[in-house]
Amino acid sequence: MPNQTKTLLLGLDGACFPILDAMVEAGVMPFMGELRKRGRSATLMSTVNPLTPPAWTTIMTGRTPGSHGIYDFIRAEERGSSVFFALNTSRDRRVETIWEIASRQERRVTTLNFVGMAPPRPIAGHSISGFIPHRHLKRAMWPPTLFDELQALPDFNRRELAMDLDLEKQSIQGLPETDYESWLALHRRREKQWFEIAQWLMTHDPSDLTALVFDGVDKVQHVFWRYLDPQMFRAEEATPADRKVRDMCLEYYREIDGYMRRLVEMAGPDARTFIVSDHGFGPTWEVFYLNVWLAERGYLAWRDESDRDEVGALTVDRLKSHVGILDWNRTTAFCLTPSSNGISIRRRQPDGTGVSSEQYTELRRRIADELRAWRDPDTGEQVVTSVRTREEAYPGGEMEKAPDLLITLRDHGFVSILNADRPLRKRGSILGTHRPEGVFMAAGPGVQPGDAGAPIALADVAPTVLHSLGLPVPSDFEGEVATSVFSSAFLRDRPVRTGPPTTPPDPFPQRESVEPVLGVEAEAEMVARLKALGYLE
Amino acid sequence: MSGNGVSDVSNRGAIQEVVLQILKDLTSEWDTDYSGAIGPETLLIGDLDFESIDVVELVVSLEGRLQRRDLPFEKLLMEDGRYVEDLTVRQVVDFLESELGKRTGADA
Repeated sequence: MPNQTKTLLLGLDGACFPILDAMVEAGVMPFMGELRKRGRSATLMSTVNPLTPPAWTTIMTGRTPGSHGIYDFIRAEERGSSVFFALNTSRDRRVETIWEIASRQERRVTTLNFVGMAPPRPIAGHSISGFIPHRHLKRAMWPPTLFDELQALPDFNRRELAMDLDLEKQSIQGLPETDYESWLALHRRREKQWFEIAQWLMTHDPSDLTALVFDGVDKVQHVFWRYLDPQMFRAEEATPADRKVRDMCLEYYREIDGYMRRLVEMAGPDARTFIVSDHGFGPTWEVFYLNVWLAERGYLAWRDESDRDEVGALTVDRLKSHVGILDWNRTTAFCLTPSSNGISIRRRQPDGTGVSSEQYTELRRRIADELRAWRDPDTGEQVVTSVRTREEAYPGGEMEKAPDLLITLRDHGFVSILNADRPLRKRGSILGTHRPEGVFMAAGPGVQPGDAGAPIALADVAPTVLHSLGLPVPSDFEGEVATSVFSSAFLRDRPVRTGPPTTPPDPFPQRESVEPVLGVEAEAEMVARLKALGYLE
Repeated sequence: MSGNGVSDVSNRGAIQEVVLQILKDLTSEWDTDYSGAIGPETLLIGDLDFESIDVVELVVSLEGRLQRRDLPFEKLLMEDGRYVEDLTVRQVVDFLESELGKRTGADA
């Protein structure tokens, strides 16, 4: 008997219940409505910085960022009087994924469009990394023959399957209204391709676990939040143009709903389905220029004072420009990327710049106190609602790679790293941004219908999926099986088991040394992140 | 093996061969106007149409092929605190030869 998907893990990047439930109510997502009724739902609390790379990595590993070591799209390393940027790849992830854990316990796995899966690691099954530009997509796949197989599919279009990062950057920094229709159409075609690949693999070479992320949800919500939020969009007040944009958005959600229905139906009644998002979503109405705030207090110096943002942008056009905008010799604290919402403090360098170990703690405390105390000049309200040290935010063996401080803004937006004439500016229009409250849904055999009540942690997804596959939970997982999801009868028949700890991943899997042709790898993901820095989130 | 380099990349000729092979593989399916052979004087950006970020991809590809994550690529990519504007294949090979030689010497 051929293999059959036993567990289906569907990711909706950035999905949140306020939008999904509104879609259900409007009749746009009938399958989602059915799942809400017959399955188990809960709020899924994201990583402490609700951001795609750390959050999806936590979903895949059952470990928090302090352990898996992925905090952002990029990492930065001090190099004398400058900072050298490097991109996070699968080699930077310090712990195993559930794909590898399941694979070495004789479960086949298909994982599609998860961030940070390139260079691909050998698994029993298939892997295609997300966040890959089209010209590197081939090298982001496992097995190496997969790309050629997919190319034979009638509607395969690698340019549209991959992520066009310039287009994504534009969507976050400001998408012209004239581009709305084509941009949405492209994302609909992308999702359709991912769905068709999943469908093809489930039919022709099925896995025990099939996992797929639809990442367009996040992007649509970033750009079109004001058309989606039921609190903001008033149909009776909307112009015909507004209604057209909203209708196009609804069509996107309608199609996602249809894809999910078909995948669940393909998996069959004996399969369990999990639907998760890496974080939630909400509106952002202002831009906080963190580096401006630091400069005003003497912690940071600009290389060129006159180069100022006037349009509410978050970041520079090219990553290498990040290095160029700051005078590193006169900078002790800085923010490198909008998506980090973090402050890094320069440690003492050989040339004498930076702060000593003795100065570090006091400087960090002072910056944190000043941020908490800072008020909106117009309203007197607190803008930075939370400041956490990395010991508080990112405990774990990989903490040293984290920013020294993590901040949360009152609208949960991402900071701008650019120079400006003042630290706080209203946006021209309301956009969407990340929130901690994502979604978790489960359905299928053994799932107890209803609302799970208490939120589930992101790190609980991995052990829950392993349990669904009948596998023990590694003893070094930080998450736990979300037992509230399952019926007592199911848990009685299949009690949670604890297994051996995970195996530290080799950054260079054996195939690289025995198959030199693969040495080039699929570091496209790295390219993707570099290009996407601050644009996608 | 990890972190020790690969035994077949022990001299300049082998290093250049690795770099050229990686560049050919990387660019084989790119839509660029460059039609010439890739050689020591080929410019990554000027000739091969690398975007600056593709240089970083090259770095990771080299790390994968050489199984080394400790090579100080900032010495190749940065000058006076800023990223370089372009690189020739020869510069990449020079850098690797220098750094791999150091490691070999240290190991010896």
